[in-house]
Amino acid sequence: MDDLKKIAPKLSSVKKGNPYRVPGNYFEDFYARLEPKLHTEGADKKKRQTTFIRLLKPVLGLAASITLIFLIVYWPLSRFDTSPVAQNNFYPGQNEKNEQYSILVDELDENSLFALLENNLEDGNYSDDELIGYLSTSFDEYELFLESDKKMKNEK
Amino acid sequence: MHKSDRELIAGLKAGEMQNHAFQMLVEKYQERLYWHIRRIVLDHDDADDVLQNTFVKVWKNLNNFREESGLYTWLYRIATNESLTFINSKKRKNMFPMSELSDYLVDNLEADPYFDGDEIQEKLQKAIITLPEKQRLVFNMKYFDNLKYKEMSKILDTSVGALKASYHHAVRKIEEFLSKIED
Repeated sequence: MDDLKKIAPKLSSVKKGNPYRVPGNYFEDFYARLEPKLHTEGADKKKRQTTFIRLLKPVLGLAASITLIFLIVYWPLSRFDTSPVAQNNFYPGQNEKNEQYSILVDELDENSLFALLENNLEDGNYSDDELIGYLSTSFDEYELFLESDKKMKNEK
Repeated sequence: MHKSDRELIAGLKAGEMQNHAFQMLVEKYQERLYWHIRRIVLDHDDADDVLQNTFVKVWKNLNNFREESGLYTWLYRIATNESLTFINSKKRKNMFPMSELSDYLVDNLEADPYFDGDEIQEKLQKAIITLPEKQRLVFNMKYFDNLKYKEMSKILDTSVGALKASYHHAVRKIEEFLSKIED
């Protein structure tokens, strides 16, 4: 206070009382005037909540129906695997090998590829064991007998 | 006989006692909050509106009240914010620049049937009106409500140092204003 007198003598000379007043019984009646506002606010709050739930209900219903349809129809169907076994149960490395092969072929020029194929065809020297193996897996005994009989008749 | 803040808070948290506890809270703090608001908005009808809005806001946000901030500090903060919102909305609505807003407040003061101050008190009120918003708040809270800087710091979310500086500037400006008028 002494500080105030030093720095602001004019201000410190002003009477510090409250110059304002209020209408009679203002504070006594204040709560009675406030109460209806509080109830309105409470009702509004409830109303807002009800409206929100009312808006949300159809959306929730739709979401529940879609989930139900999914569970009843799609999910049991997905349990039965109708695709061919071969499509799903291929040898894992197979595709990889094919890819590597196709990359190799793509990189070769036409002349080199044909030369390679020609070499394979011309190279017709097979050992007896390889021939017997091939014949025994590709023909049965009756066919072999008929073929050898035909050959003998032709030689005669 | 007013209940203690602790009793009031306990009552506000108990569902069936809430209405009664809230009435107790209003009766305990209405006067102090009213005068704080009145010093910001000046006009009685405006202060009445703002006070009602303040308590409606308190009622709506009872669940958000954190006990560590202190009930009075919390109420004071809401009242301050509501008063400033009111002044700013008035400014926006009437597109007042800052100087015209203080003219509007001076007019309010001069036309106020509920102002009983003498000439020098009126001059002081006019001097306060010319202060920037923050300085006006700080001056009123310190000079009239005798709030401590620490309490003000919690209410206005400003450091004690900044509040001291604001008060000092406000006092200087008011002294200057009063001296000019006398000359």
